[in-house]
Amino acid sequence: MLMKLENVSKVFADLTVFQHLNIEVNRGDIISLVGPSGCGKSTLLRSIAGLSRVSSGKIYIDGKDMTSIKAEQRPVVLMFQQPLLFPHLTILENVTYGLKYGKNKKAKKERIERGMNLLEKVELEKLSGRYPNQLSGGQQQRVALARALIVNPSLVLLDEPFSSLDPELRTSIRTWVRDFLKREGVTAVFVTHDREEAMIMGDRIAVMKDGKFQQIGAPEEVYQHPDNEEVAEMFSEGLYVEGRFISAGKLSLRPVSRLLASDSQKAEGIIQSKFFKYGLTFYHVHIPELNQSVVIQSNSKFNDKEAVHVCYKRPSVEACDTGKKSNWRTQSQKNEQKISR
Amino acid sequence: MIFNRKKAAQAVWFTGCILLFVAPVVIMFIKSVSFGWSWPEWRPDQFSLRAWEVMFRDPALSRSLYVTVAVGVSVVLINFLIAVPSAYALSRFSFKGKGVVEALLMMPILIPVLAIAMGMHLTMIRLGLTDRITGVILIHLLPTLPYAVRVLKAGFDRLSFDWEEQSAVLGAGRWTTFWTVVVPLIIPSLRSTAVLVFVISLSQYVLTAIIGGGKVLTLPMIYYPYFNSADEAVVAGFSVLFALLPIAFLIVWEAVIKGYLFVIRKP
Repeated sequence: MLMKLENVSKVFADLTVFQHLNIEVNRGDIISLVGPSGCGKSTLLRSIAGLSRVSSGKIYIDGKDMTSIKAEQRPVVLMFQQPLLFPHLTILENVTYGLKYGKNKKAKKERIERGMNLLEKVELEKLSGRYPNQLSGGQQQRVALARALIVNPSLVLLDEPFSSLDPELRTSIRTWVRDFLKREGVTAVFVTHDREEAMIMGDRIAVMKDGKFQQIGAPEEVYQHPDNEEVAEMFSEGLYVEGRFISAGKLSLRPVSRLLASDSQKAEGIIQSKFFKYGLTFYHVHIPELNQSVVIQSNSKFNDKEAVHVCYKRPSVEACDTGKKSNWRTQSQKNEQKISR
Repeated sequence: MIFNRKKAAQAVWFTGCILLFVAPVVIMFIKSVSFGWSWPEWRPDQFSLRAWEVMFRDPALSRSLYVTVAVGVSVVLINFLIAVPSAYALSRFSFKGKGVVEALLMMPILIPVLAIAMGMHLTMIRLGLTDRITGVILIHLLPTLPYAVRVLKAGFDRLSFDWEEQSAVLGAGRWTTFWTVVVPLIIPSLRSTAVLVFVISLSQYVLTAIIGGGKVLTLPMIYYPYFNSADEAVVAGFSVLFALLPIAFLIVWEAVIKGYLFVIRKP
């Protein structure tokens, strides 16, 4: 195991940022840390990097206790939201900064060799002599990634590195970065408040809220089986009924007039609005009795403000609409929900 | 119509700038190399370098140039030595009584400098610093240091702490980070400080006279007597020399900075 947090807390006199966090990260894994803004995820990342002290608990990296080691001595590199390329240095000079001034200094020849090598990997070797302000935002983040990886860190921390990019670029660069990190076998913790990004980037997801890990698990597991309402609300789509979570993929809409005998598990809802995506029709449905809203795909036609029945199945009961809910639809719905946010 | 009016306004603005800022300097320079140029002649009778010869033949002048530059450069360096750490601390850390410290640092330019200098004079006599270049350098800190701290603090305030953290996570220690990231990024503030401090030091007459006791002769000390002479060409030449000093200083400064950046950069 590469990194381990043991009962890590950050507490101020009048404010608890996070408390009693425990997690283990395996070598080569990418963990997505997802949570609403202000949940303490950035502070946690800064604590792992050594830029912020924890109040109690232990941080182990590579089996060594790093809790009281300075940031510059830790085998960890943090990538910030902004690329923060040093403006007075060229791209190559930026990339080799860690080898020239960092803790493992290398000879000039090796610095340039490794710098160019990494720039080739991020496909920017032709721009090595340029200055940061001559590069686009996406290129700058790729340079920042190269600069972070040149010191061969045990762990790379990424703090919403794509949040300053426009949505289109963001979608393409995150897949690229994920593949790049995987190819290089880099262990990484990736912070985001974006569900879809968390699922794309992470081998495992850690859902954080109110300074606690609410659930840690594979993306599908967290999405399909959220441990509690908080996780469901934040990371999944579906309904919480009588303490049990029902994924949106298992829900179907039924006109009030055409209720079937098998539709025993249902709730009354009102269509709020509809939209079309991936060639399908989706409905925003509000369910007053549960005080919850959900997006459901349906092949039937409904009008706005129309009353409907939302059918769901319980483990022991036959589904009211099994045939129509295939996996790919769940997937597309996931994507849709993300984008509509 | 509107376009023409805009053009006309630009022309007026441009002419005004030339008349107010460029013309006086040019006229002063011409005056210094002319022989006899009096109203209503539109041009000098003849040109000559006589005024410059007079100036440079005076042994006091070359000596005072040397003293002036030595005092100015020392004052700039000492200002950096004191102001950079103080400004950094004032900008980066919060501590009890920070407001008081900041106010105290501004005091020397809020209280008439002469009032302080008189008191300082007595102390400096006791310390044996009067009539010496060291004393003059020290007293020149009085009207310069508050500005230096102010300008540099504003520079540090504008510089996000993220840069230093970025450097730290790449493995650079605090000291290395300061020299390779912070200093290059606040060069504009360092430049303003250097030029401001140099010009203030260059303009000191009273402080130099009191503490230097007439024994430390800087350029202003011999400039004033010349001013009393009726030789307009020499006075003009002096003024040009005065104006050239900060420019020369700035050129040397830029060269030093370029050299510094060249050394710390390199891939």
